[in-house]
Amino acid sequence: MDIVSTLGNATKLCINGQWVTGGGQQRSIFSPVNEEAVVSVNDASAQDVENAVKAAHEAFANGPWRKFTGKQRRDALLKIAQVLEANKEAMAQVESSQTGKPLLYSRGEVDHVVECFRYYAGFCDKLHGRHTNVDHDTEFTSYTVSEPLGVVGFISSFNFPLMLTTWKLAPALATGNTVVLKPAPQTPLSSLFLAHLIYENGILPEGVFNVVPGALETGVALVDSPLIEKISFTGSVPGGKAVYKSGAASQNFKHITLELGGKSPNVIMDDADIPDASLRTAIAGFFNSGQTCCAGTKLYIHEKVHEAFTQRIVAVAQGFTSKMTTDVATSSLGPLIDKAQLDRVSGFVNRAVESGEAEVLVGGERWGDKGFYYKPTVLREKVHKSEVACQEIFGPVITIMPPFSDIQEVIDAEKDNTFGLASGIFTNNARVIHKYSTEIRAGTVWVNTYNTLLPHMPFGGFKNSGIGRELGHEAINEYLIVKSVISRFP
Amino acid sequence: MNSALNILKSPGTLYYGGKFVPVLSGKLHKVISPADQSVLAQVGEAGKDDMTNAIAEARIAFDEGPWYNVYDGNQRRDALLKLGAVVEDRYLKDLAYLESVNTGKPYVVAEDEIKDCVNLFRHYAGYADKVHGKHVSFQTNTALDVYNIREPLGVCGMISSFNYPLNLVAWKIAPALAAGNTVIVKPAPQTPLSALFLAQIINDHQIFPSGVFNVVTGGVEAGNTLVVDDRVDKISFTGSVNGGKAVQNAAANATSSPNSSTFKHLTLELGGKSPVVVMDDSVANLDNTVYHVIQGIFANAGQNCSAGSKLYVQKGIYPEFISKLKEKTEELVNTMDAVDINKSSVMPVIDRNQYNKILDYINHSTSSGETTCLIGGRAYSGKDGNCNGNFIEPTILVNADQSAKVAKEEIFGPVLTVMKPFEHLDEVIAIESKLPFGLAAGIFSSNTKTINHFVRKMRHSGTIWVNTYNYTPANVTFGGFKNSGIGRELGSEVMDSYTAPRSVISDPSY
Repeated sequence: MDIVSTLGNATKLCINGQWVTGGGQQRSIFSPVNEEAVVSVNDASAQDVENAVKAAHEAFANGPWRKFTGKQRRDALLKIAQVLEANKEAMAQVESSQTGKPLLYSRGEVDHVVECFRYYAGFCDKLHGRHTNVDHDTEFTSYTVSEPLGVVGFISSFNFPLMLTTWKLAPALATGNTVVLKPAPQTPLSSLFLAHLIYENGILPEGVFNVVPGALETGVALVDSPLIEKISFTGSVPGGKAVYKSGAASQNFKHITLELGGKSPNVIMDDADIPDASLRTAIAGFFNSGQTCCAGTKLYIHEKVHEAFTQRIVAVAQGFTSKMTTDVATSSLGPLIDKAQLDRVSGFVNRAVESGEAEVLVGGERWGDKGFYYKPTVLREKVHKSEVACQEIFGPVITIMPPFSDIQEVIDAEKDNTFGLASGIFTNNARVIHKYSTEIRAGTVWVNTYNTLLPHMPFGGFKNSGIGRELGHEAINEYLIVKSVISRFP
Repeated sequence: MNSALNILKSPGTLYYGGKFVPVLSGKLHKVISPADQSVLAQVGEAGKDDMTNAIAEARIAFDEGPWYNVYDGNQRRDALLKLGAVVEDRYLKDLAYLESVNTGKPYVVAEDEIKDCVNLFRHYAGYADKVHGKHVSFQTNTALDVYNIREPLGVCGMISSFNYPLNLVAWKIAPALAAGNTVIVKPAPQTPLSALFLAQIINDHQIFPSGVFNVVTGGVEAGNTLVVDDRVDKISFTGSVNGGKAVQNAAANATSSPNSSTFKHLTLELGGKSPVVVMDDSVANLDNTVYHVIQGIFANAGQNCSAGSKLYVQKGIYPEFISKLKEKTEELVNTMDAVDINKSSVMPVIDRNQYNKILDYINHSTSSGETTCLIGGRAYSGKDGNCNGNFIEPTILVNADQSAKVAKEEIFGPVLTVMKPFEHLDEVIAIESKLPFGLAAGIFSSNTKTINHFVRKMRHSGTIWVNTYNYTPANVTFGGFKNSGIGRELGSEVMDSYTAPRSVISDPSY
């Protein structure tokens, strides 16, 4: 498929339903598979961002969107789902072209995105506040109304470009907000293509969904804008802290949602089904080449099964490596997004080995000599609180922790984890499941599974992994603001 | 006769278990056009055995089929969305045509009702993937794991009425199916055509697994069989007060049998005698009030459970209001059309039975002197005196007091009973609060204090309309108090009535 002709105008900025050439830097989007340029884009300048925000603001304040009934918003989201479904292959190809994801996963992500739009569509015509019971002795009649915030700004990430944009976009639109999105600099294409599909099919009024590709400067302009009521950011912890600080320093009080990184523990108990658990554990760490905020990268194995499981996980990793190719149609794993990430991942592993903090059981090096592929890697921690057990690597690297005999040891150890995004455990022991799910401070607890993301279950972090929740009906609440109306009728 | 009537592929059959099945006895029932008494179609008249077979299919489909046991909520959502899409994209005109000729309502009105059905399917589709129970937060000192699961009831029998045939069926089946139930629809004997065509659509497009959606056309015997069968978990009935009482009695009797192990859930949407109040202070909005009062009683020829059939006008505004009301009603009378229902301002009533009943009410009222006829008061005889449809002129009977039959009883026709003028709103509230109906009420006023007072005090009115009437959106619950029924349809509340919770309390330390 010819990406350039498929995208057409969707390499410019989408502002107010029009395709506009950005005033910022012109640069290429590269394929991480072969390091070749896919297409050229023009970033948004600060002025472009201002124009986009103004368009979104105008659309919210005076446009037809504000007067859409819940039914109409519902039907718009259902139409988006339908159009995406009809263009699934094109969208999957666009996604794979900029991320190198195997097509199998890009297609799966389009399915998930379609499901998200359908799920959130069903909220539009059901939003309600509460009306306090009338008590004929009471003087006041009171009720609450939930209203959209206004213009919301999104800063999305490169690991699941379309999917993580949708996690923000679907609930924001369902509740009647207008949007300005800045995709990650490496991966603007799928969001632009989504805007193209939306506007070519006349689904949303102009100004409701705007896309301004760019990097740091563009993001800063968005966070600083006083017309933006909320920023939803997915990215690194330092990125999140910068956004939080800038948001606090900006001219208005912004609502902020941060979906940041993780160093998620995965626990294998002595009664775990080792073949099943080892496969799921490998996927937990290696899926999307470890570029997953909730990746299970910190592996705790019960002493009774420690050796057996370690051997299994190493074998699975080798199996994945043997199925790597540079063909997105067939490869088990894709590349890392760019050279900077490749260097970063290599750096962690190399430092660990050089310092003696950890040893490499399998992998531990680049794969191939073109593209940014890294081999699925299993490390064994040798020194307490090693860097590779505490920091997020964001690559296909699982660190095996020292063996344990009682789940309490894991729970105690995890108290020092500065992250708290997700966690997993493999066991059928009800007492252990209950204790772990109750005591671990993580936004998602997976039992006998991993990375299972369901549109109806909220997702988000404790501690440095962020604030706020995406997915579930909780996300709907994050895009609404409550008004109380209290009346007397003298 | 439009070829659309020929689109009912298998006349004389019932739809259950994913198949069109002939009535065992071969008995057929004629469907008669209210506009000209012609025979529109012949449909099967189900007996006890037919309905019993259908119940067996719906039961198996629930207990063993994939609809609840395998499908996720999002798959049920997508089935309902598909139904909405297919109806909207391909069958809107045919369904609207069928509904129009079967009821005598103008085509454009029927089409709006079918569009509303599409909206209902879409609205409740959006609940299918959101049914959930509660999980009670663990307290580490109690160490118990406590949650509940909400699940569908099972087999739901839907007995519907002739006034909005497909629309009121959609009110029932959309939430029931979204929650994972299986359903058996028994439409009113006069108006089975749209439900049968819906069955055809569902079958042709394989929308639901077999046995999930069933249509059994018939009368009292078929309906009664549904109500007393132990394998049916819930009956949702729309009809008359007497019909509702009969259903409740039959269900209760069935339960008292030693072989029964089912207490049926019941939702009854029955009739009303809904009061509409016009305050002096609404005088600035006279046109709006007159418009809604007229729509409230003459739309659908008054065949509306929540019709605003009992009018209270405050003394000061009375002469001007009644004069305007008469003037506007005259326009309606002058634009009736017995030849083309699409052109008629007022549609015919559903059958000769209703027609005679309504005329009896009018004649009794005027001849007894309990009211005076302001306008109408008779059958419509057509422009040339030749009319064999069930048309009745929009009728306004004035000067009623509470003892008048037409003030106490639901007429279910285009007859507005106007009470003697009143002085204070509290008089109306006091009287109405004691009366045996409680479906809806309306008030026309520009004073927020008056409105607030009325809303607070009309405690047994399921819906209160303020400065409007009849508007019943999908997301607002609807239903009655007292003789107007029990249970609620629409809104989110209806989902609770098609599901039941199970609680799970576990000690996880073992």
